[in-house]
Amino acid sequence: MVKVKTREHGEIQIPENSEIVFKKAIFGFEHITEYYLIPLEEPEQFTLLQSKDDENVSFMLTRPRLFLSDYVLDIDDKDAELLEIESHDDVIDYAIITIPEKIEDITMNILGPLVINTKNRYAIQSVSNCPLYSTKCGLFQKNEELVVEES
Amino acid sequence: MLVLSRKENESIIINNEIEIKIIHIKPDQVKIGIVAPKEVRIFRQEIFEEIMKENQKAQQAGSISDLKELMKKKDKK
Repeated sequence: MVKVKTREHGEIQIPENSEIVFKKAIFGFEHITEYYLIPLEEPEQFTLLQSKDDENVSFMLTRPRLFLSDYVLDIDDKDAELLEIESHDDVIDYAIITIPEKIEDITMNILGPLVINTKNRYAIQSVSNCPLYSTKCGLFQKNEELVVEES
Repeated sequence: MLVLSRKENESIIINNEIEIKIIHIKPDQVKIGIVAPKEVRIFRQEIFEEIMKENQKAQQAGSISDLKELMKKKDKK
């Protein structure tokens, strides 16, 4: 186990090999490339992304398909190359959560999903090509209009 | 920055593989057509700003206990 400092949860213990390295940084956080990926025990739908060096930088993530079953991740060849993806089974994707004042209006950013290769633990923030996907997709809104027809 | 003047239906070729064509000009807007290889990704510049802004907002995250409560409430429904 490793001790990690966090802004909101103080010092916590996490398993070794929780680190991920961003090959294309989170937009606006270009100076930070190393994070810990910490799945929460409760509520299990969420994962904490904590900067390794700056305890004040952290994001809350979720798996977009938990809330939008038809969600489709598109990743281009260049990004796949950057992540050194060999098999699609190694890829795991997340969306960053934004919590507004009224927590029921919680949203996830599916325009800029995070994509991780679980084998080498490389990550990127990608940009979706889907014109229906926004930075503010409600977790508890009906999103029927977001069904992407596979062509 | 390289600045070129173009009229309707005139093009610019970049690197022998990307064509940018002025399709239509209105007083306050231009319609641009782009022909490029499949691996070239093209986005409106605002998209990056939008994602950056959302990342900044997301960074000021709420607490896990609030999330716990929310998910409990939603489970009951």
